[in-house]
Amino acid sequence: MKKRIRAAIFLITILILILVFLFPLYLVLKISLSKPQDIFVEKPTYLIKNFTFEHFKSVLLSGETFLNPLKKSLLTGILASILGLLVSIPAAYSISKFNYKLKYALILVIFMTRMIPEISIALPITISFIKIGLFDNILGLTLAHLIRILPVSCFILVGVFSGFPDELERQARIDGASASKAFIKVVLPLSLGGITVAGIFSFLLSWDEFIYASYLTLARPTMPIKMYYYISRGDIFSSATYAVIITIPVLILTFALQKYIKPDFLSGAIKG
Amino acid sequence: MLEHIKKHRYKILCIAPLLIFLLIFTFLPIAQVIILSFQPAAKTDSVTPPGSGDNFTLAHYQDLFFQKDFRQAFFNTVFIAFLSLALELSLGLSFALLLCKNSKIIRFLRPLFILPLAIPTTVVGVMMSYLFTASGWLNRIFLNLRIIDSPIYWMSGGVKSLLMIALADCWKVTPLVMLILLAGIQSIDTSLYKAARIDGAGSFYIFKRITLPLLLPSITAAVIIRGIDAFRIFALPLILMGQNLKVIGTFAYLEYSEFNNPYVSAASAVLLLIMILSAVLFYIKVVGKKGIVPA
Repeated sequence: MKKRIRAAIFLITILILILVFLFPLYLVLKISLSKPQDIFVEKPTYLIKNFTFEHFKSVLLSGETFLNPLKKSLLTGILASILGLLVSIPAAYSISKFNYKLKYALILVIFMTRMIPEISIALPITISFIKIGLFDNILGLTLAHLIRILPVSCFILVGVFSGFPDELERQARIDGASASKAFIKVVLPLSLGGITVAGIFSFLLSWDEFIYASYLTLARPTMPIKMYYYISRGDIFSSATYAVIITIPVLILTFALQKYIKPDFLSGAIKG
Repeated sequence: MLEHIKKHRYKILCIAPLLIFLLIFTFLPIAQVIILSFQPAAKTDSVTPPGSGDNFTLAHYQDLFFQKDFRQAFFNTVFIAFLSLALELSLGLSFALLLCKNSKIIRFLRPLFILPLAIPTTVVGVMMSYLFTASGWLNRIFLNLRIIDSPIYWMSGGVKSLLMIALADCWKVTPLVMLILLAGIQSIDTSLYKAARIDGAGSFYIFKRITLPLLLPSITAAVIIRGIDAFRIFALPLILMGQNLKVIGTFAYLEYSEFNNPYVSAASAVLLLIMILSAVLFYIKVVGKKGIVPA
């Protein structure tokens, strides 16, 4: 009996914690779905009293104001994850095949680049991009996002390839396949799961990127920059709606990848 | 040596694009920003390309140290970093201890605690601005619960605003710290606990003498990963406070974008880089090399 009460108290504590913890998230959703009379009063209601899709309608139907940032964010994200994979798959594969010392050193160098503050890279890049015409365009932003993406996707992929059994590859080589053919025909298809994870992660890193985007954007904002524009203008309905629209794909993709989001993933690369 | 290169030709060819990219888009910009920070300001409006000038000046650094704004930003950055790190570690450890049992319900609820990790930082900023404005929800809830009598002006600057930014950061990042520590706790051999229990040790004693020491590598990992990010904090202070409260990151950004002063911006970016490097080196020196990389 005592044990039961204890378990109940424990559970209630956790549920209350979750409630408190997730309240801000609910708040955004609530604001994006409430009529102004629910918000602009002295004591706004906790629940959605006057439900409306009006804010979503006005954002989604605002034409280019909405579609251009969406297009830019999507295109940048897709381009960045494809380019990121093209660079990091071969790199990660060869890192995973190096001897332990060299592998460790390379991973450390890649890890070190994550220590560098973005602002100290963004400034010189912006100045050079203005010179060569990559400012405020998709290719320029993609290159900048790759700075953020490549270390992470390499980390993930080194972990994936390190876990790949050498036996299979050796078998293919014995059967007469060249090194590159063994990689393409054997290693690549069997690592597709891990590669997909790396690709989706890369997309997410680009989708919510803010620092490079604010340096490299003037007239063509991405989704987060557009949301920042609304919040700095004090338009809480548009900003809440944008926040929800930005968050939904992130949540869906993250939950699809949930079992992979572990710190182990990063260490998998080292443990080898 | 040549033989070596020949033998590993394919591997080197495979890794070359990555190294070239890092060279052009990470190491070269760092060199450029350092050069830029020592370069005399151009008379014309346009910025001379980094590295083309042959003059050398410390004027921008002097400029920084004499600016009250920058000294304030420096203080803010350090303050927020320590405060948020302390909050995140204690909260993350509590959550991890709370959720380390492997019962069905906990395994079902755990994702809800991890949820904030998936929310984009900019969205967190927007969210927190609804929460913390004077007429915002936090004040409303506190007033309702009679914790306070009059609304708190979180965004009026000073320590309150620093606390607000630290809390906002904390909301997003505690799950990450929790995950790292959770992995650490779960890797501790449970027979150690049993042995200690048989020897008559209490819960707190076990925590102090077994859990905490064995968790140290995970804590080190969390501190380094998080410490670096805490110094680099950017989106949250920019969205929540903008010009009114700067950290070094937003100071450098505003100096460039609002005041068109890339040199001073570069100098502050270099200082931030030095701060991060020395903080990491200091921490490694103090705690040792164990657990630099989560393992």
